[in-house]
Amino acid sequence: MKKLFVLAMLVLAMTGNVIAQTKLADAQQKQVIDEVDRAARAMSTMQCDFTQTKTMKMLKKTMNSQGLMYYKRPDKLRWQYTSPYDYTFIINGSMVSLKSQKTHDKIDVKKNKMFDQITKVILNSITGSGLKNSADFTCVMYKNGNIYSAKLYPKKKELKQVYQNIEIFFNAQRTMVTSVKMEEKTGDTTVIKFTNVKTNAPINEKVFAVQ
Amino acid sequence: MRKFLLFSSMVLLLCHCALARGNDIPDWPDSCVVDSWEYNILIQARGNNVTGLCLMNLYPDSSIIGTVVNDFGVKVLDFTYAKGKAQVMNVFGPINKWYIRRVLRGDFAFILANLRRGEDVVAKKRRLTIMPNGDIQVANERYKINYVFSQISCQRAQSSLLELPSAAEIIQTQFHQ
Repeated sequence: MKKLFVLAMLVLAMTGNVIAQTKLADAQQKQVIDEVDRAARAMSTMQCDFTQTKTMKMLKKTMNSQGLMYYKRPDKLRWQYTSPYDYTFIINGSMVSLKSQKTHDKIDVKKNKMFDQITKVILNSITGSGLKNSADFTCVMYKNGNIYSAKLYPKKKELKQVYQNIEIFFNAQRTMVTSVKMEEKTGDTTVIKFTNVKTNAPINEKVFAVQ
Repeated sequence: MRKFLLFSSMVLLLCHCALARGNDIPDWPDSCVVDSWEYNILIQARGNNVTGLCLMNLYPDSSIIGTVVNDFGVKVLDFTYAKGKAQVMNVFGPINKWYIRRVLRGDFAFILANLRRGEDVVAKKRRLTIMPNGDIQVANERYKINYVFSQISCQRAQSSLLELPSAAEIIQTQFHQ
């Protein structure tokens, strides 16, 4: 009896995480995706601070960076790392600007499939839009307490080469993305958390200028 | 049958360890790290630039394990270095081709052997130059690949963490005129 009890406790402990996160039924998933989509459409701008934690499997080490994010619907984004180094990534329509301390590159994403896919992932991950009928991902929704998350499995070759899956976490009202977890094929993971979020406030166009 | 199972399990375990580390480097615990170095890295090849971070750990047997991640936090490659030989693994999908890995392997063997020597080095088609600003530039003259390593100062990283402005502050100071 004692052995059975210990075994049962062990099984419970091992499956604890699985039980905590419940996969939504199809109808409920559709409903939540509709809600997220509606909220994303209602959001014209978003600006916030972010923290990024990358866990590197090979070095058994984490790396933290911080920065600022500005988004304007439908396709403008400024992603600016401020610590521990300066790096700015701007998406403005089909043009992308990558500016570090040493280099400044401009890329037309129409001419680069990989970049095109990655910019789509970033834009969709920030607002949670694009979960509906996505040609790029298979989406599975989960619920953990009152927190919903969407786990995206890439369908296209370009993204499959890099990501195992991308998980987007929403606030309890399902109106905003609070964090994004990206699992790379190499076993590294990156978690991005958004704080001090301000939505629908005007943002100067200069913020998104690709010069 | 039992012996066969035991044998095949051991073979699988050994293969797994070899694959995980890439060469003869043991799986050192964190407490064995002798030194850690962090560099900003710029890789230039055929008009394309990759900028990011190169992080590496030195272990008691002088072996090195490291990672290059781009500025966006996506892994570019992992590398190991021991007894004069380098291995590269987990190379970023689109450039994960055997002929690219072979060139990278050679370049990283040269880089890791000489990065901290503090003097210029020339060997066959590779050249390491200490720049006046302290950056280390490595050129693969055969394949026209350039690597620039700039050591990151810990002080700078800490001060920028403390002085991080909020999004609202940046908007007010930089963009609202």
